[in-house]
Amino acid sequence: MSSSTKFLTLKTCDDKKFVLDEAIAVRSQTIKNMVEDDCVSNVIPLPNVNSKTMTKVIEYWKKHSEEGVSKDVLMDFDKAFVKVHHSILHALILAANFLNDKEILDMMCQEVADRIKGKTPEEIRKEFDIKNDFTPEEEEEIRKENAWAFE
Amino acid sequence: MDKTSAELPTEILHQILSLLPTKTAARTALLSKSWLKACSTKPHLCFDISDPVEYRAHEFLRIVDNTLESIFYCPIVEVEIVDAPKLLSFEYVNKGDSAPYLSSDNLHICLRTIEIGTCQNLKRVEFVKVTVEYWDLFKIIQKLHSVKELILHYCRYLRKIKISSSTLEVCSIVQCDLVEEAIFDTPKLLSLAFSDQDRLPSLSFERAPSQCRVSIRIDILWDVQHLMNLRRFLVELGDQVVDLTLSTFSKSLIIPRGIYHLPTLEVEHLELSYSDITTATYSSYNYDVIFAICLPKILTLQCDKKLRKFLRQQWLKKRENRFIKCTWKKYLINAEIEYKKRNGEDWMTLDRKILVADPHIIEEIYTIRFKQIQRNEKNKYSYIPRRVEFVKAEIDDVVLFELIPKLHFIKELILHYCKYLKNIRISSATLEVCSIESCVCLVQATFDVPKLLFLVVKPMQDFGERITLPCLSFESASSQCRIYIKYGDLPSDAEHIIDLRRSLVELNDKVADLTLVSISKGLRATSGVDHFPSTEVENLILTYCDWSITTYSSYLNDVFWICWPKNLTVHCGNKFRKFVCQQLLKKCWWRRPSKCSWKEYFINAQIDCMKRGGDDWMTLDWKMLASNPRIIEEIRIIRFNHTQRKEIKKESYILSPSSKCRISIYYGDLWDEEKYIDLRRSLIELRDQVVELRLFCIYIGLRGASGIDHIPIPEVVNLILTPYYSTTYFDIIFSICWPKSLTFQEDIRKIAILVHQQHELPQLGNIRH
Repeated sequence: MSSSTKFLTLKTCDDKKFVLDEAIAVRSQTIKNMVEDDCVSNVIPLPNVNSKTMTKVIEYWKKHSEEGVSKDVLMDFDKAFVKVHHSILHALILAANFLNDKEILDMMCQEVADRIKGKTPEEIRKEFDIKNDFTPEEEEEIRKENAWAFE
Repeated sequence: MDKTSAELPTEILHQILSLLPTKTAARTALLSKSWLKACSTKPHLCFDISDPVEYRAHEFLRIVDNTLESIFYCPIVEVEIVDAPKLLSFEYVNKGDSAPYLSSDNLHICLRTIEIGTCQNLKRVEFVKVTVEYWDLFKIIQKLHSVKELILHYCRYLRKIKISSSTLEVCSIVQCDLVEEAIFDTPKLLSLAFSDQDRLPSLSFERAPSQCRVSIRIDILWDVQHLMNLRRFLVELGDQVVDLTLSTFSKSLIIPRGIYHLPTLEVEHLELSYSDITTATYSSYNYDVIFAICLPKILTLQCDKKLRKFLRQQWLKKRENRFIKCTWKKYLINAEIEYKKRNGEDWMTLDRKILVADPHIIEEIYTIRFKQIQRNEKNKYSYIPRRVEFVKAEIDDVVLFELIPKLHFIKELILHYCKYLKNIRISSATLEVCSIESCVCLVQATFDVPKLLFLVVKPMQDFGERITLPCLSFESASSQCRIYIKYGDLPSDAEHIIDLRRSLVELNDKVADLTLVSISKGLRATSGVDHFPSTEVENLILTYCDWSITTYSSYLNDVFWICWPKNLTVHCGNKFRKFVCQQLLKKCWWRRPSKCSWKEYFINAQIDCMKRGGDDWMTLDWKMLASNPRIIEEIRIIRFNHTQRKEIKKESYILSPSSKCRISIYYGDLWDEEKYIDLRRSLIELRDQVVELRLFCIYIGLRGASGIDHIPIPEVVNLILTPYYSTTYFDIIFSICWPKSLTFQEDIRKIAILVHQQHELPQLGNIRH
């Protein structure tokens, strides 16, 4: 820990400001790089992240930066953390990708993969609200090409 | 609205896919266009059969095949095969060329990781245009317990290959140009092929069967460097069977003249396919090139008009050129010839008779094959250099010491006229023959050479006209090691003769041969020397001893004082012949044993003689000589063989009152190194004699000469010392001798009276007993 606690101000795309301890904020590789390169003037703009998502991310960061939290508690927290609507999941993945936080990204991708497993394509589309942008002919062709996967 | 797939970048989709089983991942292609793109470009392949819900084991192979097929235009970075018991073949082909969004310098994709779990049945692994790391490759192959075939195509960044597999049978390496070293630990390897390699790697086999066939395919032999590289490669292959296919060689290829002096390499099969006819002229030059590379047991050629013409000429000339020296002409003439009219037909025999009977047959030949019937045995040399010579080299002790272990192949070391060598140390596990000649300043040579069989030492007069034999010491040496001392002329002064004697004493039981060219006139062995055991040498050769000698009896006295040879060979002159004749004829009167050692020797020796150098040895005895005294005049070399030295006699060389005699040496002060060595030598020469030694004062700074530890330490019975308390002091004492009892004399004064100040220790003969 540095001798004096430094605070960073993060500004999301919907113009909300988050004041955050630098030690916590540098969990994001993107922010860390900015701090190290000294291009932090006063406010760090995060144009790809909205405030709702950022609140979630900060919640995660704070929990994982707390001292004296047992592993079980963290695991329960993580489990609950990923049980969100797919739109939030989606937003979190993008945010984690932008902030370059591998920990969150990996966790979220795993969650997506888990949700995909054991489902038919239609179920997956429904689950993630994916629009089928294939024409029926195209779809048939893909099914043919990958017939082995649909047996 | 489709939020997820529309907005999630492909990399993230890749990551999600990598977390899914292969089949599930493949299904996601149906979700939307962005998922389809992700599915067909994902860099990570995971074949995992551990999830039984997903699919049954027997489907697995097909899944792998399908997957590999479907991802035809993307570079796979990670491949993971977790558990694939039925997988038989794994082919990783980087088809990066056709990928639309790849820049040209990115054609070779680095396969970062390849994880292969338990592929018990994987038989064939192929990598095409893959940058796979040496270590990864090694590990992959090691893990595959049933792999039979490995193919590496265009793996251009591979610098080293090490393959260790107990099942691999076929290995093929194509255009992996950077490979410098290839190590095969493959006991079942049957075929190893190198194709279109610009540079052939240095190849080594840790375990390989003798019937492994190595085939090399080269399109164009570019230059001398390329040629030498090929030659080196063939040399290193040693006795492996080699097939070589050569399409053509560059016109500008000039054969270095020196190549003809190198031993010719044999290959099993050489195939020449001249694809470019314009460059090929079937002149002697072209054949020179071919035969400079190797001597094939079978040579196969594709015929064209020019070649046919050339061959016809050669055959018609055949009679006249019967004893031709040119290798390739000889080869073509003596070979068994077979030909084929078309590809795929059987081979037909062709010889002169058939050709004479039907000259048009040659026009129909498509492929012709020459078989060498007799294997040329003289071509079988060992190609690896074994001998290192330094002649007039300005190397010093340190350089030599560091250099020798680097020459791991060395069998023979020659040091001639290396005037900067003073105190050499040679340490080598392979050295067998060592020759040190005329290294003026050499004082000491230490050998840590367990395989040494033969050591030649020839001293040379230094600037002070003194001949010094280097002090030889052996840290490890085989018991059969033979030492050959070529002494040359022995000057007249006693110093040299004693020096030589000492060297022989120091050699102890080592088998030694000694050559003396001449012994100067007027040399007298020091009086009293007769009472000391003379050292035995295996062979003593005296050359040209005629001109400088006044009387042979005193000459032989000197000789026998230096050593007692088991074999004495003398190159005779007239005088010596006469002398020997006299001695031998006298022999019958010498009934009683003579006291004179050489007479004794002459009487009991078996005598052989040789009329000319190179003839066989003939036995000579006095009866033959008595019946025909003229026989002696024809003799050039005479050899006395007296292997059984009488043991009683040996005893008697040691002082006659013998073993009970007690020798006391009152040495006094020991000042410098020279005196120290002198004392030590004296003690060694006394050998088993009971010795009492008194030392008064030892110079504190005295250090034993390096290497002295390796010379056996003489024992003395009693060592009397004035007390001195420092550790180095005792080191010195114990390097001089090993006393059975050690007495400290407290009263220094008292001893001082006893001490005779003899700094120059007398020659042994002068010690009063």
